[in-house]
Amino acid sequence: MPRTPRHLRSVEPAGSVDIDELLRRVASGDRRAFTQLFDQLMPIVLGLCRRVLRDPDQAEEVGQEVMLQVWRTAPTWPDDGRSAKAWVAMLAHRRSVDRVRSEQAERDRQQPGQNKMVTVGSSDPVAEEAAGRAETQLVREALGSLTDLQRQTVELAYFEGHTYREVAEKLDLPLGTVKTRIRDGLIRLRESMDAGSPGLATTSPKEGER
Amino acid sequence: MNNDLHALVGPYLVDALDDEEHEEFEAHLEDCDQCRQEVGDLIEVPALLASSESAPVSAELRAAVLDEVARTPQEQPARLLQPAAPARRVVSAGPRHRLNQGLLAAAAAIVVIVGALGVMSVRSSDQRAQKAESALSVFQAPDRSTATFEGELGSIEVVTSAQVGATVITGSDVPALAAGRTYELWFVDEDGASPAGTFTADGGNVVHRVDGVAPGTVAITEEPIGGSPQPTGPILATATIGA
Repeated sequence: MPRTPRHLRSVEPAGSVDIDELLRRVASGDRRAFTQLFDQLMPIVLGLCRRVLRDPDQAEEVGQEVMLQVWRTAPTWPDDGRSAKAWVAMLAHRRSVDRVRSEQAERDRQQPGQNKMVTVGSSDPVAEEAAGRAETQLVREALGSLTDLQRQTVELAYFEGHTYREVAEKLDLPLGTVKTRIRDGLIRLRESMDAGSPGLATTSPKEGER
Repeated sequence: MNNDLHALVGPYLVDALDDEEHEEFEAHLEDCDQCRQEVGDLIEVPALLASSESAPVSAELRAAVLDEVARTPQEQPARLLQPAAPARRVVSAGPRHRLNQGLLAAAAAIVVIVGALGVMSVRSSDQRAQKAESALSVFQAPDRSTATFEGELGSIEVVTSAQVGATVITGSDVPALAAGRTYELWFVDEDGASPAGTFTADGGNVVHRVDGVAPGTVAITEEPIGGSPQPTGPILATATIGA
């Protein structure tokens, strides 16, 4: 008899482990390191996929694809200045966005004229689950420090997978405004990260674990 | 410097360009120091955004991925595959080739794996494909039964499916054994215990799959490496399916 999936204990804060080092070990075929990496990053990957895809089942599917891709391609981890976490987040984001867009394209093909994006309410299905995580809280605070326009454009683009053109249409703003607001929003976020909110930095000191 | 393109730094970083513009912007990046610098400065920010979301990971999902990883070879930079299928984009495989050749090849390979995960028929000619059905198909089987082990071995579950004809046990916080020792799973019925494979606790984690449907009771003992035909150690944990 099937039963409700048991949930694992909550993960350690990301800052307590050197994720780059884990990925380097994964790249040399270390499966134990992969397990650690998985435990560190999968909640974020899954959260992101859920946010973009708005479907827990699809999110699991995509999250799984992403982590397998991480394992498989770790030896070819591109040295483009991205941290391991940023790399994995990028893979998860692109894959989710690709899926959302191809589904949208499919819908458009079948029902031309009904191609406007689904409007999403402000309900946030993962908010409760995420509420306990300090890092999550801090990032949300950082998001709160953006101007409304910066936050809206960044969120529509990043979390809902819209192109900036769609964002412009949705918010009835000139394209140029949307482009710069997204960039300004990212700069502002980086500044609040640099301002040293503990836990936002990827290598914040944390007392030893386990 | 093209002002228009320069302004795409933000949308580029949050994947808010369409394929064409994405490609155009990546080409522009190669020529524009300023944009490259700016992208470099902001490249960690999307991951920061991602950190504002997190979702609990079910034990089943975790086990399925770890299990799949255990049988998936890694791609080595020296022998990148040619992309066998349009991978990243369903619509067009064109964009992003320039900077992400390796990624694309990898993604193409992933399509195969994902196929294996989903339908399992993709690599049916491959011996490993049968194995690849393993954990996930058991977890997804409509007729699966699940039970939790009682005992001193941390948190272990057994999932079995008659349709798939296989049994998987997954666990976490399972103590490591001394060198030369292994855990062994047993299917126990009225005729006694039959061996159902050996496994170790890799960093406390266990994912073990064995062909065959578990009977009402399964048990775990500690045995010399290689396993024993009959249990020689004390029973460390048992689970009763359908209890």
